[in-house]
Amino acid sequence: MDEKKINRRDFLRQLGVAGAGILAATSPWLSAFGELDHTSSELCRIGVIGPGSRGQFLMSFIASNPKAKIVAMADIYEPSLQSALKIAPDAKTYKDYRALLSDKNVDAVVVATPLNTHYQIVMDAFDAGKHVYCEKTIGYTMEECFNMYQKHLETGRIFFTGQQRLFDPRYIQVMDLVHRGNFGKISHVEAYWNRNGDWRREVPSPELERLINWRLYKASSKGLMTELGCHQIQVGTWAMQKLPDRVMGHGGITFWKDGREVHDNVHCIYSFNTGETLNYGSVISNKFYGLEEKILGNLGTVEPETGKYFFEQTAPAPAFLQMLNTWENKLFDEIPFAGTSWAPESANVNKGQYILGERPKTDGTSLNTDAFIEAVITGRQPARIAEEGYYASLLALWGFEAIEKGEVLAFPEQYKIDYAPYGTKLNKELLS
Amino acid sequence: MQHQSRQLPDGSTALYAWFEAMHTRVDLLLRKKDTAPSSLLETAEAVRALLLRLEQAGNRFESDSEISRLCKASVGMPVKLSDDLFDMLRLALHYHSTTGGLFDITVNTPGHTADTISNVELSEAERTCTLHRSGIVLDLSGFIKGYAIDRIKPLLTNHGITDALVSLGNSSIMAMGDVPGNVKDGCLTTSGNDTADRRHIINPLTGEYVCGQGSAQVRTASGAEGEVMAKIKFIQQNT
Repeated sequence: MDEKKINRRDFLRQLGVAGAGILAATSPWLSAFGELDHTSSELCRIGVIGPGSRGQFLMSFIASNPKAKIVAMADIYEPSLQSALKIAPDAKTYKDYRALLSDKNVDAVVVATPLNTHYQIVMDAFDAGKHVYCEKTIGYTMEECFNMYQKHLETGRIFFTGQQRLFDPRYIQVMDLVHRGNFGKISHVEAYWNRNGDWRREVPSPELERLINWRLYKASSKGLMTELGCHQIQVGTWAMQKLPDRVMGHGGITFWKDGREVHDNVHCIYSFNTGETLNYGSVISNKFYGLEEKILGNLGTVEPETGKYFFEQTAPAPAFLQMLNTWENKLFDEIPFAGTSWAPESANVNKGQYILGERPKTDGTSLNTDAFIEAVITGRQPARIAEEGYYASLLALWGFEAIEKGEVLAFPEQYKIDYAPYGTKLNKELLS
Repeated sequence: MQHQSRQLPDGSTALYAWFEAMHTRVDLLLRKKDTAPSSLLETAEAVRALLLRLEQAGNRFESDSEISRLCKASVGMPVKLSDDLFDMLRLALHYHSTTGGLFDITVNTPGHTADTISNVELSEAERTCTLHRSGIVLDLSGFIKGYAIDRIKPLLTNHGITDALVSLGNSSIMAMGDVPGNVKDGCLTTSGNDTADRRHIINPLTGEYVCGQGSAQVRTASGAEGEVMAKIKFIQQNT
């Protein structure tokens, strides 16, 4: 295991921003790192349920955190367990996740199984007193998501979801700028994820097709909306600071006609009573435009995946923004600036600016797992993290339902939770 | 004007405002105790108004500016000047004399010689300028930014600003009070060519453009003096 020491300074450096304090309004879940320097002698014992490809990706980060130890794994597919043992050779292995949940040495579980199995596993895990990190989308239906969230509240156990953008330094910084009004009023978010591939995994034996390629079949998956859209739709509501009121959508199998049941081409329009729109689309037979969530304000545009923003007018100077933050946080680092004269004629080509002053280095997954570990150790659920994950899942499933029904659907009021982060004075002003 | 403000932990208010003026970008960082963001915004607006006024007086690239009209006036005819332009020209002539001719606002005049500037006559009593030769080009570029910095400082003080950082085009920077960054009380001025292809500074003693990528920085109490000294330092580095 790497001797990786995580302290507050390292964390701030990873974030690439002046300080976590300024981001409290935008990303309050960063409070998970509030006691980094005091938890260094603690250990979070983790059980991984479903250590397949995604599960092992998460394990790679957990294994490099000195405050965590992967003590157990459960999977019905033996090759996954054997492969995962290379990352956590000391972990006990189980065929049945319920046996893992009975293991008293497990404090918390990471659930990275197929979508249709999340619900029972997570409900059982909460009942067993375990803290839960569940990959997105958290539930197969909106009702399942709602019940899972309620169970989290009832048991008081920590609940994280695999929405790593919540911990991506680019997104955290961007949302701070968006919420402060730097890009003006946000009227539209255009989110898409385009790939060119069949989305299939290699199957060693035909009877394993539905187990390994579970993403392609409706009994176990809701396709692109729940596997990809869930990440990006949340970016839209994070930026807009409110939930949409209606959704309509269309989907089809337009290219990969290989026996799959889920669409390879989906598009949804989420709309707000105040007129804004949030579009989501995913096509997996063309990758030219890749993935992005374009946030469009009357003063500027943000492309957080690319890590850039573009102002319609003269952009603020990053060094001055940083100095403003420095005053606020009393972190007096050297901020180099000054040079030969800035001339508007050389700024006419709007190449944009990197959000963090450079190309991004992390997508937030490691910080997401680190935050989960911190929360388990301290026993404190960071503000809004479960709620953002809940609504991300709900919105993806709601969009899927609109596609399936071919109707314009109103927001399912019965699944609204007691969560009102969008009512701050600043945001009301922005959205009026 | 684009801006954003913050309430700081010590009870003071900070404002960052940015806009374009004088053919470049202007960045203002202001802090004051017991005040509202709107008050700081008024100060920033006052700074912008001052810059636009100075630009209207001293921008040779604007055909209707005061300095352009002066250059087009009849030879030998005294032209009444605004206090702003008179003050800028007076200082510019002063620096010409104290730098042995290395700072020369007539350097862009066709057929320029070391003697060209002697054709610019100011009358302190009448607040006039008389050009004794046709075709004289008066160029305050660069210098006008440093001069503006010197005018901004008392404006900010009069508005009760305790801490401020002012940048005109990133090359003329003034700090006062307690501000973050690498510039402390005083001015930091940069002169030079940001690329190997860019040539815009003429050595008045040779009439040649200063070539090559590079820059010179000086720290001074006065912005105007900083402009003069940075330009001379750059010329000397590359001669």
